[in-house]
Amino acid sequence: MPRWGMIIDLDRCTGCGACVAACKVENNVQVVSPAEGEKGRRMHWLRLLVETRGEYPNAEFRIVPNLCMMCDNPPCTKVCPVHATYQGEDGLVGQIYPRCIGCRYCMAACPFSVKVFNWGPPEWPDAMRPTLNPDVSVRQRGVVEKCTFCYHRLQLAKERARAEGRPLRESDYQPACVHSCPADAMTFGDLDDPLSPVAQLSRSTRATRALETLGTEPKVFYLERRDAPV
Amino acid sequence: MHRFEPSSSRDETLFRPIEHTGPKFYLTVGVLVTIILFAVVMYVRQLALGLRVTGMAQPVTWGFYIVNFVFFIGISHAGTLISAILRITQAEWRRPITRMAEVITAIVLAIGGLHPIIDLGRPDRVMNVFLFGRLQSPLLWDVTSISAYFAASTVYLFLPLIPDIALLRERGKKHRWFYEFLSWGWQGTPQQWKVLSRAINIMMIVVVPIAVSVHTVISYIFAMTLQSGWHSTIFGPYFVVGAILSGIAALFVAMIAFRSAFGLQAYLKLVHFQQLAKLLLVISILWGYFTFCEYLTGYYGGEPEEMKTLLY
Amino acid sequence: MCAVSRREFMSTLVAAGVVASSSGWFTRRLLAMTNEGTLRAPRGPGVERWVPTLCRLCPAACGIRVRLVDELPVGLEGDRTSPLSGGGLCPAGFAGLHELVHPDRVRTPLRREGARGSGRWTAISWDEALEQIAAPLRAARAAGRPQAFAVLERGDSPLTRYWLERVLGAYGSPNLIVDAGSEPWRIAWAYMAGVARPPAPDIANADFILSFGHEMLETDGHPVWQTKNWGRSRAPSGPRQATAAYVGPRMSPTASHADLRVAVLPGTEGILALGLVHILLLEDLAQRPFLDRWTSGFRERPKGSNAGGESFEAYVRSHFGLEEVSRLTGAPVSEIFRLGRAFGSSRQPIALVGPGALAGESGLATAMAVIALNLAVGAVGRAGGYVAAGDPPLDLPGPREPDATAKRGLASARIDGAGVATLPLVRHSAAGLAANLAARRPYPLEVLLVHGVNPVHEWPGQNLVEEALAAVGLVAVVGTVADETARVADLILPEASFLESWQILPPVTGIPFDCVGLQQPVLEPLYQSRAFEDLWFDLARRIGGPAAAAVPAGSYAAWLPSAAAGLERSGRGSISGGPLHARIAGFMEERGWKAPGPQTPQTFWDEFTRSGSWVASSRGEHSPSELFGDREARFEFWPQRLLADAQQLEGAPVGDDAVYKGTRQAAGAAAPNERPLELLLFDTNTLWAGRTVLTPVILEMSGFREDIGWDSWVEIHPETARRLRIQAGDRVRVESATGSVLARARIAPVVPPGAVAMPRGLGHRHFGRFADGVGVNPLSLIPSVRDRWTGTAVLRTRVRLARMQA
Ligand SMILES: Nc1nc2c(c(=O)[nH]1)N[C@H]1C(S)=C(S)[C@@H](COP(=O)(O)OP(=O)(O)OC[C@H]3O[C@@H](n4cnc5c(=O)[nH]c(N)nc54)[C@H](O)[C@@H]3O)O[C@H]1N2
Ligand SMILES: Nc1nc2c(c(=O)[nH]1)N[C@H]1C(S)=C(S)[C@@H](COP(=O)(O)OP(=O)(O)OC[C@H]3O[C@@H](n4cnc5c(=O)[nH]c(N)nc54)[C@H](O)[C@@H]3O)O[C@H]1N2
Ligand code: SF4
Ligand code: SF4
Ligand code: SF4
Ligand code: SF4
Ligand code: SF4
Ligand SMILES: [Mo]
Repeated sequence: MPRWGMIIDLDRCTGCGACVAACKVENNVQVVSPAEGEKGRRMHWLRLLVETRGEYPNAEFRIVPNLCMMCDNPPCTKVCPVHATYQGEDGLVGQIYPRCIGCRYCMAACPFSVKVFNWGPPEWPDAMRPTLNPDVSVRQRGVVEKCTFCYHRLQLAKERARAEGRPLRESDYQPACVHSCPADAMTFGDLDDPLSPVAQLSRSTRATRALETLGTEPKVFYLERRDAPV
Repeated sequence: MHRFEPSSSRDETLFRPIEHTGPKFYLTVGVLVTIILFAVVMYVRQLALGLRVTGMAQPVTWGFYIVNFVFFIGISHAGTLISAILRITQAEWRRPITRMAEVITAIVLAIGGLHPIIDLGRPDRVMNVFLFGRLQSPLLWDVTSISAYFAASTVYLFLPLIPDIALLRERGKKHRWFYEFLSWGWQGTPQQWKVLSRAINIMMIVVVPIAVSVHTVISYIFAMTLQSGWHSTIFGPYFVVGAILSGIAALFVAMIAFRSAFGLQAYLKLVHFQQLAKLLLVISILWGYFTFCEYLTGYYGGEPEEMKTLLY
Repeated sequence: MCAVSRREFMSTLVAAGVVASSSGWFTRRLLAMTNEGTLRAPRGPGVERWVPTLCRLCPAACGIRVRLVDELPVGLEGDRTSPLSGGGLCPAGFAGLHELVHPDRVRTPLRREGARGSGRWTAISWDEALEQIAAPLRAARAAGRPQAFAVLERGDSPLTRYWLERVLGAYGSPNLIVDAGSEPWRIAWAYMAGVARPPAPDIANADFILSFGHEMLETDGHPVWQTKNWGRSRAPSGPRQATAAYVGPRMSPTASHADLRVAVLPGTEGILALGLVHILLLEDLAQRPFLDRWTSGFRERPKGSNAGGESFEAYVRSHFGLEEVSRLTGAPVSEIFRLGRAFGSSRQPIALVGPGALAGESGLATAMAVIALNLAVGAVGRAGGYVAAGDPPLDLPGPREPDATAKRGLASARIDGAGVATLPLVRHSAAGLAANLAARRPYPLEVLLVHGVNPVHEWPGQNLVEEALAAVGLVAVVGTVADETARVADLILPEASFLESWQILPPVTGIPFDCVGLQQPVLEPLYQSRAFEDLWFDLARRIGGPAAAAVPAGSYAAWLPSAAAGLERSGRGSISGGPLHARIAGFMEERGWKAPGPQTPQTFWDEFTRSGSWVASSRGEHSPSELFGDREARFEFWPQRLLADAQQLEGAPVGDDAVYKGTRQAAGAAAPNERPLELLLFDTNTLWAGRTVLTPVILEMSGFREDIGWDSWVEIHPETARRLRIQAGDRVRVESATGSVLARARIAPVVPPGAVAMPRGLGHRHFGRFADGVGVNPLSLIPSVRDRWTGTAVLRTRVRLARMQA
């Protein structure tokens, strides 16, 4: 069973936001009204955390794409009263929207604050409705959602592999954000396959994980930014 | 022990509000019902428009409702726990207070217990808690212990009520059938008294650990997460002490209100206030001590995350 | 006692409660709640199909693959086989489908009712609409005034431009006005190298990329291709292949990611560039052999150009002393030194300049200075330098001889004054158009066809623009969603979106190899919309005469394969199977191998539609001579032609400083005390300057790095903010001489204390339901000022800030 993981190279990431838009569109994440967004109810499964440091002209944006870390030891699933967020056998942490009672306990429990809640009924601007992705369920009001590592793509890849009578290959499955990245800052694959690029990068000296000391064992690794050579 | 006997004339003050209703009663009920109806309308609005009407948002995903939940469950300790403690310690001055305390518990517990349900994004699926309940979730611990506490404290409220209900039945003025049903054939025989006091004694022992568990478990909702500021071992006892503290305070408020509203000066005397105040003082000191422990460890370690919550 | 018994009272209450809580509405609500959102478009058998095509939201034209399920487009992703974007996209690209299904798309041709701008329209047929345009055109030509017809065109697509030029040429109008941003850059190359098309920077092979306000990672050139290269140069293992440096006043995202940054005052990039040349001279880092062989005017001034002028070397040494450069640009001498040394001692350095830096009064001078810097390190005609590219061998019909009427028309002055009121090499001056139209100069215009340009919203001096349009006999606007310009037009014609039409696109300028992408429809045009080219063909046929003869019979889509046939016939390149494929194919081709390709034009076309792109192998060897073709020529530091042209334009000989420092015409330089802050405009890769039809996903991401959505903001230096007592998030009034807007304050050390910056793109008034009223348009702050030499708009002004009471 592959252990799917992601590497994000902060040295390469330009903060362009393509991954943010890709995820939003791929996963039918609702666009709340401007007024709602203003109140902090904007919904993104993937956000860029931006920190501006330094003085003019050496202001630097430190940009960290923030998505579900797919913890191996997820604190969010433990607290769900109804098994609506769970860790599947492939190690991915998923959500069962029709079962979620909307208590938002998992949001409180996630140390990475990556879960989002449908504060109101789904708002689908007319411009988006007809083009919703048919592979991804449309969430209803009052449930919690988050990045799923584009689980639907894994399912499709598995089906395709089965139909072609071959085992699933690492290259069959890639999340939308990873595919979109123009800087190739994101790498996705099987952390348990010692030859795969993700496994090799995860052992790099630059590799770190967010809030590592909490012991949640994230499967998203960051490669730290390198200092300028000049 | 009380003996079962027709009421004395002295207790007429106590019966009056039960048997006579005046304009004040209707006014009070009217106002309260208006408030309730307003709340119902607001809740329906929340159902219609989603939880955004509460003003909650990212990252403050728990707000007023959960705070209220903790608050009311805290207050609920007024009653049963205090009265049980007082009973166990055989503090005789407790008598006029316990009933009031127990009623507060039962009612406030119901209010508190309702809050998480109001807070749900999907109240229509609340049954999932039973259909798919995961006992590993502190929320389920909560459901369990609050229901147990509610059951126990209702029984605990009801048992000592039985002889008094029988009194009402005997007076036979109004709703006799009602009191007859509720008094469960109480005749005041020594055998009945014996059974009753046994039952009360059992309940008062049982109720203490349940009460402690309730508030411990509520604290666990927070403490079991990895959030700094929440993830702390002291949270259990801290919440219990906090709950008792607020419970006693609520009791004070109720005593003062009832005393003046129903003219109970003869029953609620200065001594009760004094004794209760001592208890309040002790609990306050304990609570202050816990607060000190909690903050000092956070501050002294100076962990950045802890400092953030501390300075917030 | 009350009349009601307590029991009655109680039961009434209970009943009321029951009624309230079980009312039908309530239950319905609850039921509806459990269902809502689970509804989706009715689904058929779920047959999936992918169509390779192009994103046309910006000139970069990235390759995309659109996913159709049961023939409905439900998603898109970057096309990995695209030689340019290689699977990457920018955020805006993901909203591509939302333009297609925008609820406010124009559905039928519309004719104005009532006064212009009244917003009342009647639906008419295509026949009526085209006839309404063609009739005055026939009349004008019959009257010998074909020049009274003008087309204002966005110009992203060279083929569209070709057909516009061809038909206009046959008809007899010189007035194709393309609203292209980088005229100064183009003219600078034209003067210095005599080339018609600026060469492209081969950044993939450069080891030091110095950007003068070139937003490589955001908006300029081909941002996705550039970002791909950026990523490649920062591969996780091994040392970095390229160092990036940025020079400019605002620390943009590109600047922030650079390894080295030098802040300069707005508009002084050219001076810094020449300061760097001075350092190259001081440190003996200039490429003398290159300069000696390929340039003129460096060591000594050729005879005949401005009497008594110094050689370029002497000019730089005497006029660009480091103290002086530092004083003018505001950059410390040590920083200039550090940058100059690092640049000059790299093996393959290259310097880029962006439209932002060219938008000032000294645009041409800045462009020339940057080219001079590139010449000084020999960054032309070598790997990692400027190379010739961008001319794929498409098969186009040969030129036609215009008839007598057309000849007369073509000989008349252009309506925008390009080449007359400006340097003669200037081809388009959108900024001149408004002023001329308003003054009905040099002649009144009868028909203006506007395609893909929104002057009312985008051009500075908005009152003037509206006045200008009012002076035109008939204004027809073609577009997918009606914009501010359409609102004041006489006719609105519904255009098919890029997902409904065909096109072949050579790469945007700045790509150092030849390739083309194929844009193909994923579904039939919705409503009555039509591809612009088809509309144009029809209009030509309706005008009749030579115009009709200039276009092929049949539709544009039917013509395209014959254009593509040229690719096959050229014997170069191959249909792309991806960037790796392109590299391997190129490698083999250089060694005399040609991968067996499709045999006939038909099979070529079939494979082309399957793949979506064609790519020629890149040249392995470069030489500066590739820019000159067969000509024997040199790069001129003191272009004879420029000096002569400028002298004619100014009516007096121009000094050396006018060429390399520019003529500061002082737009709004007055009253620096009253308006102490310089306003910088910038674009983001979400708003794309508001040029894409703005849809919710993108509007929500308008300031995604600033945590701002659906709003405009103004960037303020912390010191300025402290002085004016402005806090982050405050509403701030930004006031210039021509207007004022309200925006949210973003306080960050990304602008100097003497400037503020605002994003372009928002503030639409009529541009579909989503964009209307969102944010503000900072262009309303900018007066209409033109640079006299290049005819481009000067997008600069000074402002003051005031905090609004909360
Ligand atoms: N997707 C998409 N891409 C496009 C276009 C499009 O329509 N869609 N349009 C293309 C066109 S026409 C243009 S003009 C460009 C626009 O792209 P650019 O002209 O690059 O515009 P901005 O991105 O706004 O970058 C301008 C930068 O210059 C800075 N700046 C302002 N004044 C000065 C100055 O005096 N010196 C320097 N060095 N910097 C200064 C600003 O702060 C900002 O950082 O985008 C091109 N790219
Ligand atoms: N607010 C603002 N003003 C600007 C600028 C800016 O960035 N922001 N930039 C300045 C610069 S550098 C330039 S070059 C000019 C450019 O200014 P314009 O060329 O006027 O560009 P836009 O207004 O962005 O685009 C005009 C219209 O084209 C529509 N459109 C998009 N694609 C197509 C298409 O394929 N076909 C048709 N028919 N219409 C299409 C858009 O929806 C929009 O309504 O503006 C200048 N003024
Ligand atoms: S798409 Fe890639 S480069 Fe852009 S923000 Fe995301 S991770 Fe960074
Ligand atoms: S990142 Fe948060 S939501 Fe994701 S698995 Fe970890 S705890 Fe759960
Ligand atoms: S919000 Fe939903 S998923 Fe999260 S803990 Fe509650 S029931 Fe589980
Ligand atoms: S993996 Fe998929 S769901 Fe997760 S952030 Fe990326 S695109 Fe979104
Ligand atoms: S850069 Fe963005 S908007 Fe431009 S073509 Fe590429 S994806 Fe489309
Ligand atoms: Mo432009």
